[in-house]
Amino acid sequence: MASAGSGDEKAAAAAMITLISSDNEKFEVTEATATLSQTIRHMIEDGCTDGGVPLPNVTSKILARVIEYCKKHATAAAGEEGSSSSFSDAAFLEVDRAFLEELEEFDDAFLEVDRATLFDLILAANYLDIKGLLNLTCQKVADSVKGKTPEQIREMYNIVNDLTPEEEAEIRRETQWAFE
Amino acid sequence: MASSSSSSIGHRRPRLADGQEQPPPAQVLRREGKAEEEEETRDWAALPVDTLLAVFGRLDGVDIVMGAGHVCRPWRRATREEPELWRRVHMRRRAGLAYDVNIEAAARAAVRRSADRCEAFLAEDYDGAPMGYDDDFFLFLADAAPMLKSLRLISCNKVFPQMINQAIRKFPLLEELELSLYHRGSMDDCLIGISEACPLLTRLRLNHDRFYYLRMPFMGGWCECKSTEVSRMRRLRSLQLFGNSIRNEELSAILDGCRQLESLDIRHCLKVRMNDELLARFARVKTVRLPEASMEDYELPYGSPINDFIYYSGVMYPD
Repeated sequence: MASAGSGDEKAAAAAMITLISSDNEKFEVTEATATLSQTIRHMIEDGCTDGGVPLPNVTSKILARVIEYCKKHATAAAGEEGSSSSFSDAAFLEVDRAFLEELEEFDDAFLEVDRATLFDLILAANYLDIKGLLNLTCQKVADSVKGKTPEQIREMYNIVNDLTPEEEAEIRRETQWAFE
Repeated sequence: MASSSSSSIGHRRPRLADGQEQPPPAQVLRREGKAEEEEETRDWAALPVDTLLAVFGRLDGVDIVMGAGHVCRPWRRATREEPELWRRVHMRRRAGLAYDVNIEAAARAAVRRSADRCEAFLAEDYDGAPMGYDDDFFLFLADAAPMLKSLRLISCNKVFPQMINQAIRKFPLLEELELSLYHRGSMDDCLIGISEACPLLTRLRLNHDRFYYLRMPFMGGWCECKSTEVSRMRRLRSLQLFGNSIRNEELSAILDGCRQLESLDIRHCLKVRMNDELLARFARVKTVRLPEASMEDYELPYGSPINDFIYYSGVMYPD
């Protein structure tokens, strides 16, 4: 972090990181935003972020969304002054309720995406190791398959049933399936 | 730093099926102007295993055993090869399920996959169901889940108290026990000897569906907990007794026996009469929910108390 005494703007400018998407678009973000990603945090710690951080697995469209998420949640974490800017439950408890509600609304709105975008967000969250975003997106998938039959899930996510007849028989035996 | 661009920041490669290639990073076809997002599809069967497990970890066991676990081979493999996923097995029979569950068979499959590592098991049945947790299931559970720390049984009314008792005794590591909405027999019978068999027990929940002034067998109610066994559970920290017709003397015995009690919930225990002596005993307990306290955060379904009733041609009516 910048030393005390320097202006806010200056401090922020000193801690900017450039992220480069797979399609070569550049995004300037603050260190606080970028380090919600454990992957990027480690890179910063290792001092290999000069000249930008290439993210060959993330498209600019998805990276823009991920950054939107991180910006919002970095602000939440920053409510805990002096602590590291990681996204932690403990830090959250201190932030006032109104802000938490706002954050929840943000998350809900954030998740209103088509399935392909959701898939890309999951992969990006996994790749960048952003715990909060991974939890959020995986919860969305979990909620959508709760109480559904395999067939309904296949239809929903365009998945081909590649189970062998032997496997199908085993499943039936195991669960004594009440429907065929 | 690695020179290959695709591994420049140490991306964990997902464990996939033999010979199956990881799909290339999702490429969005970007045309000048607009992207046709509606047309895009992704291969959900090829979701990396750790993210897949993050999804499954948020489901109840029943959802995996009856649904998501059989969607395709990679999903099936993920659920079968990860005993961690089955450390906590929640088998609830919820309204609105698309499948007609043989919940007992599903629970067996789930517990088996835990490979002896199941630590928390929650079973919720309902009275009208044709099949459900029966005596055999509890024999199975007692053998298949030696590490069990939490056992929560809700509406498991196809099982006799002797069998429940026999099963519970086989879980020496038990820290949490719930026996709610149970009216097949006496709750006391379920608890015989448990204080000795499960010395680590710290949380106990024995909740009725409602308070009855007088419990009759055919009202599902000759099953009061008279507390003798409970008062021997020295390590108990949290006790919930909803709608129990426990009286002051019995409650006092519990408070005298369970000196470590931190949380006591006796909502709708309407035979408890508040007096100075009882209040003095409560002073030690951090959180007490009194009989008339708000039901706001109560999790189970419950009926309003029946304080008195009259007989009329064999049918009982609330006064």
